[in-house]
Amino acid sequence: MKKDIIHCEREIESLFTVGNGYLGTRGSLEEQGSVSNPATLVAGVYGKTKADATEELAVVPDWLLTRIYVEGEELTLTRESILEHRRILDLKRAVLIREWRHRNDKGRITTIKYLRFASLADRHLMVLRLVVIPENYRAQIRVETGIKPCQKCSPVLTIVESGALEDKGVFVESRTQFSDIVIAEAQVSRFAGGSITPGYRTHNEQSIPIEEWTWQAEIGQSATIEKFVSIYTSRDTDRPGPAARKHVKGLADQKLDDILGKHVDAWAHRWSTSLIAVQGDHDAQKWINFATYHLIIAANPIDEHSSISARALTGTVYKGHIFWDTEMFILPFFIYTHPECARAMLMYRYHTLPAARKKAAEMGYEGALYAWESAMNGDEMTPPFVPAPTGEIIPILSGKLEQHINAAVAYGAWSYWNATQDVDFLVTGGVEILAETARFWASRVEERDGVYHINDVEGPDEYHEGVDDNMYTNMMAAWNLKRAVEAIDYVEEFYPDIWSKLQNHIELAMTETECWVEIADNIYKDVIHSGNLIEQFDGYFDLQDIDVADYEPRTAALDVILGREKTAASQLVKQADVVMLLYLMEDEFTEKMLRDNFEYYDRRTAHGSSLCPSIYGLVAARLGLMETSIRYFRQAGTIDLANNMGNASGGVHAAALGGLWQQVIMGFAGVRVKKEGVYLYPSMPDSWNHLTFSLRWRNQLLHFDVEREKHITVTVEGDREVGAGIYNRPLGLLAPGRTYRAIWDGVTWQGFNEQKA
Amino acid sequence: MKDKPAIVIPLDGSITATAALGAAQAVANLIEGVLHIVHTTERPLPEDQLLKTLNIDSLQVKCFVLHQISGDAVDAILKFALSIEAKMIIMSSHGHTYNPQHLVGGTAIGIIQHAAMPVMVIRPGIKKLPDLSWTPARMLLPLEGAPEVAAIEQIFSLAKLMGVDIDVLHIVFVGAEQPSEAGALTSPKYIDYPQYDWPAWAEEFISRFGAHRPLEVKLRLFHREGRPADVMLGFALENNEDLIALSWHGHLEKERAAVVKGILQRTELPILLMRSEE
Repeated sequence: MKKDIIHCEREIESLFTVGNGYLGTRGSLEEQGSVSNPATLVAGVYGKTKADATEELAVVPDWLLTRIYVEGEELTLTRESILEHRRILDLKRAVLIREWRHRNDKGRITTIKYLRFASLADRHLMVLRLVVIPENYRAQIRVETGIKPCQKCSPVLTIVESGALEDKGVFVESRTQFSDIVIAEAQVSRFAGGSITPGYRTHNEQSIPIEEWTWQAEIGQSATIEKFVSIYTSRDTDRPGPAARKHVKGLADQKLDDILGKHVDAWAHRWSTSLIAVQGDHDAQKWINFATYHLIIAANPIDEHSSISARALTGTVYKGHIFWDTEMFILPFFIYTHPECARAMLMYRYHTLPAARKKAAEMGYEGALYAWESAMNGDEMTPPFVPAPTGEIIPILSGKLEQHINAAVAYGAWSYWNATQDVDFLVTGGVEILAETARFWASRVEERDGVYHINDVEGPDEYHEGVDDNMYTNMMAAWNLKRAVEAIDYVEEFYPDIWSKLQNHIELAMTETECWVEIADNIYKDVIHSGNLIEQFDGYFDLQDIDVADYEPRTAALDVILGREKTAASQLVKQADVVMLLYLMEDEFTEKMLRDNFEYYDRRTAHGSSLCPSIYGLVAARLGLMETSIRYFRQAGTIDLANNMGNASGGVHAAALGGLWQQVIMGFAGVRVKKEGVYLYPSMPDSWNHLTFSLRWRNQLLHFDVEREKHITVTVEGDREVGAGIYNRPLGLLAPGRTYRAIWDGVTWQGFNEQKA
Repeated sequence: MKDKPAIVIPLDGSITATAALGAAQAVANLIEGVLHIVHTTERPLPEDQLLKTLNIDSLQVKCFVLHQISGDAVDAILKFALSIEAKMIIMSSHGHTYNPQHLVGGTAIGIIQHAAMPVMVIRPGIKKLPDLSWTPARMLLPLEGAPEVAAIEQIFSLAKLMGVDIDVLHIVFVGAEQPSEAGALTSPKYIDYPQYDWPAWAEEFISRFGAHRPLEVKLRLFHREGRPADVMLGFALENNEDLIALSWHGHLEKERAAVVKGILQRTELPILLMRSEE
């Protein structure tokens, strides 16, 4: 046990985070310890260590801190004292449960039970319940519970004030450096213990405001302490302190079980549209549930000024920075299960357009270029270099060269619009995002003999920097240009007044859109270079060929084994680049091209990124390469749960979790969304007998039930007909309230027919 | 004297065995401990004769005790070391039966494979044998990322006693299997963004494996690629390491402990071997 606590504690803390999109609290031990790295992160609350430093998420004072004393001796988790200890993250109810039996050196045995959650029904509220039972002794028990400022892990925060509330409770107010965000936390606890009359006081212990409960415990007598904590920040209200205090005081008449009940109901609602059920593969079910849970706790539908960072709100490693991962890997889950969250995430991109415009202008281009690493306002946060433990100084060129982030944001905006037909979003922010990103590409391309090229970029494969005509970038840029024109045409046609204002606002000349079409139609596409193969970028095929299988087994990323120079001079690919295109632009390629390119790049891909396995698994599933797909699915599913990256301690890999969801839905279920509706073509692993899932589409809810090689049943919940069908077959219009079924004929899926009652 | 840390050096009367004497005396002085010179014999000798038999011209250690013990050499030495709670055994890799073709002699094999405490092994053929003036400052500690808590803690404790700082070296190479123990941590297989993953990995590695290091022991973490023994030897040379500490499973049979064998064969430095749980 000691070994596990020392070695795995910070990893467990990440995995067992509770949260609600407004905040996340790592699954740290309440009493903390030298191996703990507790953190509560509030979305959008960034600060800086110094004026020219990059913004990072602030670790706000820790609301969990709770210590139990028996006759003055603190109960701590040591090898000698543990009789039993376990933590359970209940994914369905989103509560973290801890059960611990402790025996001290006098033989006194204490049962301790904790339960905690961050309310999804009331996003500013966190709850901790503690039950203490002395099993075999009578003694004085003291519980201290408070809010602990954590200077060690949050150098971007200063404590403004802390102390006791009137009557009962304590509070802490802190402020972020250089961004001046005030964070107010207020706590009120209460005691329930039958006939016990406890002593109560508050005090400040080294700036830690504490509520203290003391009582004389009898053998077997249970005592419960319920703690309620409210957090508000100046991002939410002008007066966060009074808001937090009022909030916790207002809970005085509410039972914890009722508060828990509302939280569980809110989660049941989210699971009703998000649950994926797999029969026949317990591990797969666990990985999917884990991914879904962590995606749900990452997003807040009412905050348009923050988005989901690489480690969401589960750890500080990526400083809360937001990358292309958010739109390409995480956003689809929300678009199709909870579009309200997706909209808020995209509006964050809309609100950060000024910074993106500034970045484009500074680089000499028009339109907007999104920051590769974005935080509060969208300014570029990518550091210029990093010292590696090898002693090597690694220059970081992503901020300058990975311009494909523009297409990722545009792709997200378009996908959301297509799935929701949310006109308000389109006219408020969507068109502007699409137009300004398109404008950037139009100024970025270089014309040569009537063909447009994009030189000196970095595609998703970050092993090759400063390349010309990266096919992913080129084709996504062309797609971006065309969708921008389409969106503008739509708004112009159906909302001319709004368009007129918008056109003035972004100073768009109609000749620009003509130019965008011309560029999109004539951008360089290496569609047939060598047989069916797509050259990842100009000169890629001239690089040294490499087969990753020759370098197995290994305990490190392959570029670390080979070294940077050798890697860059080879065809080794870090992550899905051409293969990402095979997924996103599937219709651009023939079946043979899809297969040939997948097989070619699969042999040369090092999977040096956690974003990679799920996309390869997805494309493999669509191609019917089930063994390969399952291998990648396992790899993706265990990135955090098996800690095979070695860095889950810094937070879960949110994009990998979003990728896992995409592999199941877009890969195994074979879902393709088009303008006219939703297609699917399930191709499931042998062990999966049954797969059920739901998708939101144009404000309707589609429930899919796939029985392996037997039938697919679809029901539509809503009030309108929905276009749906089997991929590569004609689309049908499915009516709400009715059930449709497609049959597997032994070779292929037949089209949907209505099931009569 | 009982409160002072104990160092054991077994001597069999051969010149080769005395190769470790300089280091043993230096370490005993450095840690203000007691050097226990142990000779296994069925016929105990008077002290002056014993010193002559053991080829000890003069001893310049502040505190030492001579012991003559009987029985099987390996068993007797290990039993003795345990009985006095020795912090470390320091010995030459070879004694009477010195054969340069052999990696280590019979007694040394037994001791390094079964000792419960760290064993510092010194090859008699190295160019610069540690002498009384030896004051090690840096110790190279290669770690493969398996959670060898007890072994690492003992090495930290010795490092504190000796006043040396530790250079932790994590080596990656093709052909290495991922350690399967819970809590193992190897180099990140995926590096999404090096600007964050490398510092995070380094912090976690130190947190996992250096959690219980005494504050006095400074730790530096390095990451290298290549054949482990080659990398360790090259690194030790480049970084002026004074000794190499190796945590191992205690098996020198064929097909096992390739790294330990490689180092024993080629190093010019003392090696500190510490058995970890298998």
